[in-house]
Amino acid sequence: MRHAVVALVGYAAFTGAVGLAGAQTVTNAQLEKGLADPEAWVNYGGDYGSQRHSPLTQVTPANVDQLATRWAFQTAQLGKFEATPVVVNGVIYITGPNNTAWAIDARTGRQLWSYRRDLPDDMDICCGRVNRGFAVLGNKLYMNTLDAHLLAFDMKTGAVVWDVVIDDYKLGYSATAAPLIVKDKVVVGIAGAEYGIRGFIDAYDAATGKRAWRFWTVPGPGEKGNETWEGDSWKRGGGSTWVTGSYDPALNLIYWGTGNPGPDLYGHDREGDNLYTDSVVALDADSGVIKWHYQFTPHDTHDWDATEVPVLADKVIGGVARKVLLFANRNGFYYTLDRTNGQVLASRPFVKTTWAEKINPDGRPAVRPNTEPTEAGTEVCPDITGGTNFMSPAYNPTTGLLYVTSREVCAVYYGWEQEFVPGEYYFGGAAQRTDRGFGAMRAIDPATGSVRWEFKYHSPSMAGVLSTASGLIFAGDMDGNVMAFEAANGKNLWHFQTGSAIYSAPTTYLLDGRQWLLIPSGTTLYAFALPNRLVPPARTRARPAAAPRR
Amino acid sequence: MVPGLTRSTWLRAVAVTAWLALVVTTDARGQARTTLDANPLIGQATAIRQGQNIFRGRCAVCHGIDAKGYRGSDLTSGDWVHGGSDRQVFATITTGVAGTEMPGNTSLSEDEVWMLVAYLRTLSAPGGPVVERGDAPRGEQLFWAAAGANCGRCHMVGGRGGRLGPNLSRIGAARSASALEREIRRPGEVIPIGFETITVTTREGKRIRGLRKNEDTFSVQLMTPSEDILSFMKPDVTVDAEPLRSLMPGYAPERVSDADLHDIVRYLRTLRGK
Repeated sequence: MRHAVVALVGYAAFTGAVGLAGAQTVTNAQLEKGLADPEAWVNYGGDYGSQRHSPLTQVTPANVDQLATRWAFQTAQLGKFEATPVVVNGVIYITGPNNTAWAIDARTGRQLWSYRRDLPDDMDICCGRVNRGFAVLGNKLYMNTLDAHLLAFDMKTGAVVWDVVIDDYKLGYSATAAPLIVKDKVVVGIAGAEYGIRGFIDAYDAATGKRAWRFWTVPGPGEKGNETWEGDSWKRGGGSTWVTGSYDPALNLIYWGTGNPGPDLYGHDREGDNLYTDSVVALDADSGVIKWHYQFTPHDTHDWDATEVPVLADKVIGGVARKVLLFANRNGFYYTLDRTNGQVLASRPFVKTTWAEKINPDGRPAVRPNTEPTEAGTEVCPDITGGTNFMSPAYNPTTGLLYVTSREVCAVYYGWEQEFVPGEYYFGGAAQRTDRGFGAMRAIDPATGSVRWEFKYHSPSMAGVLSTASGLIFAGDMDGNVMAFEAANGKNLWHFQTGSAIYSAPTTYLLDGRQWLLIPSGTTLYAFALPNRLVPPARTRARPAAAPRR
Repeated sequence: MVPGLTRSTWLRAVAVTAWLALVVTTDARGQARTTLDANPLIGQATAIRQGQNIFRGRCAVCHGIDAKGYRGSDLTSGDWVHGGSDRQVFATITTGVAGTEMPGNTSLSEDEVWMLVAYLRTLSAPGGPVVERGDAPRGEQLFWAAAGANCGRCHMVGGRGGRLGPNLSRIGAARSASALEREIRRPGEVIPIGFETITVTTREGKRIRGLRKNEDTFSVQLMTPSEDILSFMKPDVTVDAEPLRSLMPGYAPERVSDADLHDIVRYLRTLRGK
């Protein structure tokens, strides 16, 4: 008993010290620091540049096969578990399907508080009632909701501090992305391009929830870009922004990917390039004013949203030091852009891609004929879910490679004219996979766009990626495996069968001197760490010889 | 398009749930309900067009773009296995069919379901179900006789028969006569999940052919023709899949005459799971 008391006092003193050191609020400086503080995970993409590269080195290629589950947290929420957690001062804050959320003790997996939003019954969501996570600033957490609200929470209790309407869910607007905090603003994206919405990116005052600016991804009359829409088709032009963007504090620019034009698979009612759909836009962080854009898929008719995560890096390309933006796109092409001006520096397909031959020097795709959806059907690669999708890639500055969850699937695309009814599904077609396809982890060289190595998955995966400074890549697959690879060569070093398809990315943090690995899967959040006593490397190697695995 | 999967992709995901084995795709919202006995949108041109769009986006992946049946049943025959009244078709669409691959379509609104029903009514053959040919009792004999087609060696009906092929206890509710005829003559047009042919080769060079019960990046599980279930770790073996090849032999007219085929199919069409 006395021992227990002593241990408890020691623990209290220790956590007290942590509390003092970390304080109970998250500052802008911490957000900018990102994963340089390995005890925290405070941005969706780890850092403002979304590299998802942790400096932690406790788990290495030599010991990763000794990772073991330390605890599991059961959410009891069916649906796709797509969130990236926020980790602050030993507490994990994570969101689940249907706008549920939890605060969890990062040491033990025990719940501190939970939240569930009452959602309206008449809400129509096309593609899963998911949420991809909180943002954090000060003592508040921020979450987007399926009925298109932005909520601020008290971090300690989970109580809603304020609740503002982003837009009208009855018109098809919904919100699933984790917000991005830039200075004193909460920047959010919107979903709903399958319902004829007009997309935007919004910024709200973090203290009050008052809207500071709105950037329409589909320009209105008199605005530049409106001429790329036939007639009044811009009014229902789509251009959702349902995956979190990145931020460059030095350039004060926000980079955000935009989604498909509507209707998705029928383009004859909206002739033109349909700006700024399927693009990456660079916005002034203070005003939301567009500085440049690059459109990956002009006049898209295959539902290839550019709502992938833009990864920011500094690289020497062709002998010149460049500020670059790395982008593996749903349309099958990988792109390296100069993020000061949007110029394409490298581009190449990273999966089988039949709709375009290449990206021309002027940045426009060389589109092949007869690749449009028709009533009879047209076979095109990649499929509608794309060469990759919302799942985050990771970038390791030491190897200089971008690690991308890649999907090898083709589809027959059908397209037809469809009448627009506000708030109703507006897709203009259908698509069917030609076969089951397969997936792969691919390491892409941003200098050329070429694939340096790959590890094949049995099924196309929708899971994101984590990189660590010890030279490891962590990822997941559709069949339930969380996996570790050697970053240099793609050698598979570890896997664990979680029991459900993985739709999130692994994350990592340091707590009490121990490196943890988190992975949401199905209705469970798993936490892995190395055992207290590692098996010495020599013995690990000796084991298979003594007892062959069969 | 929102969280990664399109509506049609989602549907496909439902269709291949066993394939993807572990996908959790339950919608929290309950299925649409109706208090009506008759379709209020019947014959309305706009509703039929919308219904066609919904059908092609959500249903065609299994029922075919022409609704004549593929993985799912033929919806043009006028033969409604789960009841042909408006209210019964409504219920089949919203709640699905237990024990089959037909999912409950939980995210359709009441209006959308009635639009679908309005569209389906335009497809049904006038004058009710077609009269089927063949003699069911004789077909049943052929089905079980070792000297006949011997289907029961691999297929189970009502608890009797083999385990290698799909259980046919309710195949008459799931497939049209023409689809069954095609599958007997030329198996492989549709191979259900869990019945794809694979060959595993061990390091020692031993080759084992069987039906893929499951597979992921690291392991594979199969059933051999002698109904043994085996599991292998991939580093120890190579796996070759034959996606379009069924383990079931094709029954050419020399082996099963047209008359015998009609009798067997007539018997199969009586199998409704009761």
